[in-house]
Amino acid sequence: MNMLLLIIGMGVITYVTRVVPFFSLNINRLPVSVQQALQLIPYAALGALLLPGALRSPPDAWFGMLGLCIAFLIAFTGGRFTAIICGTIGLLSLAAFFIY
Amino acid sequence: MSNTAALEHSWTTGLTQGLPIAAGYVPAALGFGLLGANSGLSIFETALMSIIIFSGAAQYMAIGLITAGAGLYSIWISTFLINIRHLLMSASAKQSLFSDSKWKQAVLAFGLTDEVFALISSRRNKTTVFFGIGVFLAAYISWVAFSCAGYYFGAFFPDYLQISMDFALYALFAALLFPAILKYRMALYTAGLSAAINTFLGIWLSSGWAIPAAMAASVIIIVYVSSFKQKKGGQP
Repeated sequence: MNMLLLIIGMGVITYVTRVVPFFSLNINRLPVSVQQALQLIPYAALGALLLPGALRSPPDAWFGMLGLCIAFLIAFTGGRFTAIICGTIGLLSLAAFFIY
Repeated sequence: MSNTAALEHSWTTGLTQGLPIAAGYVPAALGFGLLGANSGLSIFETALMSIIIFSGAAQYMAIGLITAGAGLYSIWISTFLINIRHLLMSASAKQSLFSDSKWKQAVLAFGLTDEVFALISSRRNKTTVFFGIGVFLAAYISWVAFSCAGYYFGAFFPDYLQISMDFALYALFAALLFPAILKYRMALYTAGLSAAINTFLGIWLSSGWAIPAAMAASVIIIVYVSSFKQKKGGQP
């Protein structure tokens, strides 16, 4: 595969989704069902990206499960983006230090 | 605008307020660089992805799909699908900003990641495009610099850190998803259904096609079911 073409194409696609609403797209004019679908797509994307991938990540499914539980607990106690990432990686490192 | 108001909306203030995002990107970017190195990408390719794409979810997904042997088009389609959310975010961010020249808006649009968007739109008052560009720069510098650092130094990390860095990708996805599913029931249903369909389809399809198929199927089902419920007079 041509990596340069892949990367530039991905960059253009990402930029288009970020820049188009500034200049032309009026979301409010789309049908309600399309608006609703657009709102749900990110969650569908993240759900599919998270599972089953997180459980197949090395070293094993238990480690992945632990990571998901830690992330969920931090989110549940009110942690936001930075706290969830740093907290999850920090606690997982600690777990890996003792287990592996 | 008075001097203090001008200062509140300056790009340097944006840069300072963007520091928490920059900090949150450190493990995710280190993990991305390490993943790039472990997946056989060159430093040039890894750095270029962070410089040109600047989308953690898309970049991580792309490396996963490359190693799974996916083709160019399936990666591009997945990139578009995972980034459709930005259409809504940019449309919403536009409402939080004072109008400004087109080229400045076009610059800010490049840097409107989920986190930059969240910071701009969670402010109580409207702000300037320049403030947004400051936030974007803080996030961008951290993302690019630590992607490169992860590529070069990831291999020197102790084993326990490398093991947990492998999980940084999923920590990033979880950090984006979990606060949302705790707040919106529809997000929970959609993400859960999509994950279930993806797990099921993954038995036969490569993840390059299972993920977009699961996304489309779950969204269509949820929108259809909720419209049916609304017609019946139930709660949406």
